[in-house]
Formats: sequence, structure tokens, C-alpha cells
Amino acid sequence: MARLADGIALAIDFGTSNTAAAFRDRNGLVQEVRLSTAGSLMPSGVFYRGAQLLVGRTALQAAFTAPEAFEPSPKRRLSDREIFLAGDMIEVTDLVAAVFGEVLDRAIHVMGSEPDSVVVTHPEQWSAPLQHLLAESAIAGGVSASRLRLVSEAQAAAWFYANSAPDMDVGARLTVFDFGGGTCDVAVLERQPDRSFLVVANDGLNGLGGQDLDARIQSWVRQQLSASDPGLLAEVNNPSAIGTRLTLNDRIRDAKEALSEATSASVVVAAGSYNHVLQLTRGEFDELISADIARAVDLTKRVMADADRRRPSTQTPRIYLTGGSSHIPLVHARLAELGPLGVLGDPKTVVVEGALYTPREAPASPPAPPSPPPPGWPTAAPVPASGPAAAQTPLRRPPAPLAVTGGPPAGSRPPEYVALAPSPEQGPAAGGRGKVRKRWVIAGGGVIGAAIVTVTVLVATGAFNEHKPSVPPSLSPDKLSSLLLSTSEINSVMQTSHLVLKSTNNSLSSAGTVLSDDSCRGLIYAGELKVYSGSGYTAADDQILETPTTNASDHYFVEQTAVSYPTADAAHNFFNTSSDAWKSCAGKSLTATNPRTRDQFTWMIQNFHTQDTTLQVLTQQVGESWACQHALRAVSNVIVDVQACSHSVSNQADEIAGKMVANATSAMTTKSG
Amino acid sequence: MAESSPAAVPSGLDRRFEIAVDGLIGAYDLSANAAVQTHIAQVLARVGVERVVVQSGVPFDPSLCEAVSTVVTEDPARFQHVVEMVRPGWRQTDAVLRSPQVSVWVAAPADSDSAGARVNGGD
Repeated sequence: MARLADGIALAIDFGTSNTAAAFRDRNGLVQEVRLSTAGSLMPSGVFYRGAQLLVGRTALQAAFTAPEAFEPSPKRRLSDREIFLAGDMIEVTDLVAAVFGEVLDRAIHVMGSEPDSVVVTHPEQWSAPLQHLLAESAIAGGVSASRLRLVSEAQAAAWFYANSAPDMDVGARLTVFDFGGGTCDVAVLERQPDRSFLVVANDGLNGLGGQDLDARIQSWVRQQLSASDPGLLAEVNNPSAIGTRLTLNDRIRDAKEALSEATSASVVVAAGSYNHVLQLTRGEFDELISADIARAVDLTKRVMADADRRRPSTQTPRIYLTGGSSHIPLVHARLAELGPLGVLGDPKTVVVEGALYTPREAPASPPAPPSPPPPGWPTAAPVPASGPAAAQTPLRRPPAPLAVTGGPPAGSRPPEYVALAPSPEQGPAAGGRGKVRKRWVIAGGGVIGAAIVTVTVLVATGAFNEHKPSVPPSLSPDKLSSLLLSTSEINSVMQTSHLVLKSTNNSLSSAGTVLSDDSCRGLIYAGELKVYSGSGYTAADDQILETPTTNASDHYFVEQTAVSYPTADAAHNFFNTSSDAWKSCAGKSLTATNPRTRDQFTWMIQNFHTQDTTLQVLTQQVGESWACQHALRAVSNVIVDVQACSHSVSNQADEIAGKMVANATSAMTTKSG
Repeated sequence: MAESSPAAVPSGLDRRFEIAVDGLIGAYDLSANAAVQTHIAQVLARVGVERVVVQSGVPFDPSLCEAVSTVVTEDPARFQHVVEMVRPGWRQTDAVLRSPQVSVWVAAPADSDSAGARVNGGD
């Protein structure tokens, strides 16, 4: 079904971990664009270095020098609008734009000219505002607004398969199962009379992918060594044995890939003169990953049942597998219980190549319902002119209608993006994609700005409340510190007397680790700056207490944090976001890497529990008795965030959180008119 | 930065060739024996895969090498310079199979005391 092209078409699949691109030339031939010297894919991460944004492999290679300046998955952060990187508030669209700019540069180099059309893919479940931010980023990255359209990843995959099986009947269904490095997405699609596909149902799990499976093997290796060769394990854990641990990670990935074809694989662990060969059988591997795969299969079942409920159908749709982790035999075996399977093409490029087959004429997805801009959405402001002022002012573009494949709903105006004047750094026309975008470098100005806005909001709220009989009690930010428990109270709860105050700050803290799944950062750490940034908080108080000796059995660690928001709604929004994130992380294992020593700690996430305005979870360090309870509570306009760790922790974090909530309640005053 | 000049690149590089090259690089990494490593590097060079090394003390360039560790220094002249190479890189003409992996000198973070406990978390 390869169509003769009316020009050069470029497709960009901006992924959670990696980005892919492909183009169709004037003869209709589809080719992938090699996006890095290492291969066809480019890491999606961005590193913020002074006035520069480093992208792709270069960003990844710089990440360990300053983890706080690196965002591994800008795609996941797009909904946050702004995030903290290395102490500066950065617009996420700028990060995404930098990725698009690099992709476009490389594509033009390969294609020999500018593309006549550009199609960009997005997750099926993304809302219209999120799609809009993606389009805005692509345009800021240099994609011509008039040539840009968006299509969902599931649609793109469906068109890839339809292109390979052109005889699909009208009404026929297929399920797309996309299992990548860090996410799992499922969609059920139905062929329409105009040959397009209707998305009947879809859903996804953030933070379930190949990285989690690697972490399972990593835990298994450490458990095996702990039992059979503790001397070697000590060598592996030696802080200076960085190369040893890097090589072990490589061997673990090798073993995982080998187990897709073989019934057993060796994991060779070597450190200095020590070495040990571990045999991992397919059966053992299946057992290690069974909980992860069960979550992916449950997701698939749920989406397929949802599709049947929405549009009853008698046929069992074929399940097409895509994504780098979809070739694992257990995935095939478990999904085969749900329906016939289909695997076509390179799983890494199915989406981006499929995007090139989506027709411009037919709707590729149901038209997005018109939705009002979210709070804080940029209003229709004039496009900034180039010049010194524009160079320091974030570009604000009017919200354009979503350009889905095939155009807008009948009767509405055609999609149209406002063309941007290049900023001074970006240069003219074809050179309009500035890889270095200095205009947003505000070096701390963002924080000052946020404080001013907060004061304004509080004043405005106060004025409004004069005419109200009463408002819910709320806590003034200057009373936050009164919520924190004293050192003796903490010692009492933890049933020790050795905890001492290690730090106290009127700000949030940064763990400084690199996590195998950053979407679980808020579950792993309390009071983490990166988690709260962009949530609109107004003030924070944070204390860390720890026993002086950290390598004995009476090692205890507690972090207590109180965070205030302008309103109770804002605090509860943060609570709900955290609840969703924690829920999707529950049951997983996660690896935290110390960027300085390269030490790795693997955590099993257990006992997730949520009720009303309380979250609790237990993280157990694999192979150790060391564990942490993390509790988070919302009370009016305040979030209380506590982590308690010891070799015998149970419910202490929640107990501390409960006492902090009691302190908050007594400190609050009810305003009345 | 290249240790030797590129050898002839075999045409028709396929998946099996990639697996064999990956396997030899893995064997190089696992070996603590310099003689074995030299032999593997020589075999790889014959099929066009060359070892890339970085000297200590040169400025860290993330487009050429990967930081896998940092070492804190108070000497600003050393900031963002290579402490030492942890593992060599490998490339085949202009295709980078792996960048050299290095440790890098950095400035102490402002909150290093409190972050230290949280970095490790356990004991």
C-alpha cells in the first residue's frame, strides 16, 4: 500500500526514553534516519549546561557530572510545563524543542532538503492540551507550523500493520501492545469504512518496561552472589569498582536478550582476580519477571474488555507487539492466552514508519473534543518580535487547534499554527532551529517570580474572602516549621535515642541519585525538589535526622517535610498526582545509582496503601534488612511527607505524619467574615 | 583520541557480526589480563573496530566520552576534566559502538552533607 508521495514526508516518534525518525522520499521509499553515531535511535534526555541545552547521546554522557541538570524523559514532564534543572526553572517545551531541533537537523542532512510535511506521534491517551504542547515544542524546534500534523502512536502502529496486511476488513479490530524501555501502552483499534482506524479503548502504564526487567536480574545476581560468593559481591560493591558494575550491567542485558532465544544464559561476574559464572534459566527468568508481565497482561485484558464494553464485538482482535521489550517469550506466551499474536517489522521503528502511512485525508483518530485551555495556558499574545526583549522572554504562542491527521472536526477551521519569528539566537529561515536557546536562561529569576506571584494570589484570595462567611482553615507558610516533630519526639517514635538532626532547611532537598525509573522518584524519596517542582507549592520545611553510625544494626534515618500550597485544591492536586504515580510504581523494583560512586541500590516497592488523604508504601533494599516506610498526607493546603528507615521499620513514617497533621490542624486558623 | 588508525570496514555488517563484536568487547571488559585484552583489541582492529582511549587530565567532552563517575575537587582548574578512564570506547569508522567511559572532576555540591545520606539510603 506504499503510496506515491507528493513530497518528502518526515515522521518523528518522540519517545519516553528514545526518539526515532524516518522519512518517505519523493519515490515513496521509506527510510529510517540515523539519529546518532551509535544507531538509529537518539536518547530523548536533555542536559542543561549554563546557556546550553545538550541533547541526545551527548546529554546522556554528561548526565553523571550533574544529575540535577539532566532530565532523562522530557516527554513525561511535558504536563508539568516548567521544571527545575540545576536550580533554574526551565520550560519543558524548550527541552522538547531542543530534541526536535536536533532531529530535524539530522533528518535534513540525510534527506538533502527540508521536509514537505512532518508528522509527530504522541501517546493515544494524551489530552488535547498535551498534544498542543507537543506541537508547540516541534514548532519551536524548527518544524514548519503549516507542515506539521500529529498522530497517535497507536494509530501509527495500526497503519504500519495495515500496510503489511492491506486486506483488513471494515470493522476488523487489532490490539497494539507497545512494551518499551520504560512504558507499556495498549490500544484497541477498529478499521473504518474510510480505511482509517478508530481507537476504541486504550490505556498505559508509566514506569513498566525493559529497565524493570534488568533490575529484576540485577537483584537475582546479587542474591546469588550473596549466598555463593560473598567475597565477589563485596568486590562488586566496592565503591571504586565502577567499571566492574558497568560491565555487570552489560552482561545482564546480554543475558536478558539471550533468553529471548535460548533456554538459559550465563551471567559472568568478574572483579579483579575474582570471577563467577551464574546460570539463569528461562524458567527462573520467567519467575523473576512474572509480576511485571502480569501487570502488562492485566493492562491488555482491561483495555480489551473496555473496548468490548464500549463497542461490543464478537471477534477476538489480533494482538500486534511492538517496542523493544515485546520480544520476551513470556510476554508472547501470556498474551497468546488473550488472542492471536502478530509481530511485524523492527519493534523500534514500527511507530515512526507507520506514521508515514497515515493519510492526510482521513481522520487518524477521533477528533479531540474542544477543550478550554487549562489554567495558566498561554493566552493569545502577540508573537514576540526578535530583539533583545524577545531573547529573554519565553515565547508565548496562542493555543492553536490540534492538528490531528486528516484535519479538524467538520465545520471547524483548518488547523493552523502561528508561524514564529526566529529569536536572535536562532537565525533566519532554514537556520531557525537554534540548538542553543539562551532566551530562557533566567538563573534564579524564576524562583523570585514565583514568590511574587504567590504573594499576589494570597492577597487576592484574602480580598475575596472578606465577603465570604467562612473559608476552610489553612496554614500560613510561616507556620510550616511548627509541624515538624522535635528530635526527641522522632527518637521516641523510632524507638531509639541515637537519631540526631543532620540538616534543617526552608527548602526541599535533592537525593542526587539517578533512578532506573524517574517517575517513581516521589515514592522513593520524601521532600524531593524534583518531584514538587512545577506543582505550585509556596514554601517548604525539611529536616533530615540520622544516627551517626550508618553501618551498624542501629542505623536509623528519618526525613520529615512539610510543604504548603496557596489552596487546599492545589495541595490535593499534588496528593492525587502522587497517588497515581505511587500506584503505578507499586510492586516494582527500582535501582538508584549514586552518580559519584556509581554504587547501586535496588529497592523492592511493597505494601502500597492509600486511603482518603493518606499514602503509605514500604521500600525494601534487596538483599538487606534495611527498609524505609514512606508516608504522605494532605491536610487542607499542606502536604506532609515523611520517610523513616531502619532495619526494623514498620509504620513509623505514617505515625510521624499523623503527628505532623495533628500539629497542622492545631496551627490552622479558620478565617471568618 | 583514537588509539590506532581505522582498519578496513567489512561490508554487509549484520546482526551476527554485531553480536560477535559485542561479545569480544564484553570479554575485553571481563578480563583482568592485559595480554588477553591486547589480543582482543588486535582481533577487533582487524575487523575494523578500534579502541578509543582518553588520557587523564584532558577536558571532559560529553560529545566524545561518557561520564560514569565524579570526583569532588576544590581546585577550579580541574573542574570538568577527566580524572581517569574507567573503560575504553570502541568505534567502527564513524559509528560509535561505545564512548570511552571516564570519571570527571567536579565541584562539591552546596548541600553535599545532607545529600550524602540520601544518596546511599541504606548501609
